[in-house]
Amino acid sequence: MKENRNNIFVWLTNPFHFWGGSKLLTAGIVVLILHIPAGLLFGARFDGAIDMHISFDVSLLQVTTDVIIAWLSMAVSFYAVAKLFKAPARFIDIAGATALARLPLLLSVIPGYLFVPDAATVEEILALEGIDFYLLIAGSVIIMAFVIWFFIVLFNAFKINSNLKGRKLATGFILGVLVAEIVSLLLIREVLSGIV
Amino acid sequence: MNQKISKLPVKCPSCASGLAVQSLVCPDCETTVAGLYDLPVLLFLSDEELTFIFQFVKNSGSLKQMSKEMGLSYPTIRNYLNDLIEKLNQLEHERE
Repeated sequence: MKENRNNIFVWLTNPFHFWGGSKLLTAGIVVLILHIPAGLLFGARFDGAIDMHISFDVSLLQVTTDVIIAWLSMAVSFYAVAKLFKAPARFIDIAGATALARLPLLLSVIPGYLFVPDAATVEEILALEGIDFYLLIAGSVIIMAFVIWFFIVLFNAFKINSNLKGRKLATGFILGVLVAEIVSLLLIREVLSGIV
Repeated sequence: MNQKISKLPVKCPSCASGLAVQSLVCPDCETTVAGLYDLPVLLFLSDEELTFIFQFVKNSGSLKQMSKEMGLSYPTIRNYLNDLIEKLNQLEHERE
């Protein structure tokens, strides 16, 4: 049970082993707040529970709405699924874990920004050649690594807070992510269309 | 002089069933009591699990206090306890 606290791999993939409650929630809120300057600086939108897109034209209202809805939809969805399976989960732990789990997604804005192709349409992207093409492939691979890292941390966030195992764990995680993504996409569109 | 203390075997090395006690000896007068006695369920737990139970009792059952002492999160401690309860239930069920 007792992992070595100096084990970097555990900290990077499952910090929830060591942190929970208010400490985890505080760290998670810091990560959420960092989404706002990162979104504005790199022109990134987090317009879905598991989404990050570089769109350059991003407003403070958009990125703030995105991140609040993306986080809350994931936290509430995971909590609801955990309760559905009668898991003894606490909302404070799930809220903190889902917030901190967004760190890899937040960091993915850097390669997303650096490797964004000089092409606006699918036809232009498919027509890329030479160095631009290789940069696109390299960028995609790096971003994919960040996305995989994000899903590993997110999975551990659900696993440790639900204590589900086997098929129930896999079903619960997929269900939680799907519900969160659908709810967040609908809510972000609804809220922003009502304000803007 | 170092006396090597052997760990009490609880599983049969041949068929992996739970062992029972057949005789007890008084180390002072060497009187032997023979019979067939079940081992307590707790003896079937690992050293780590017994240490956890020891810590749990010492902390008056406070998982928050245990998580602070052990440097682990509350959900980690709670999950370990839940798994332990499940294992104890299973061991009890096997003996019935």
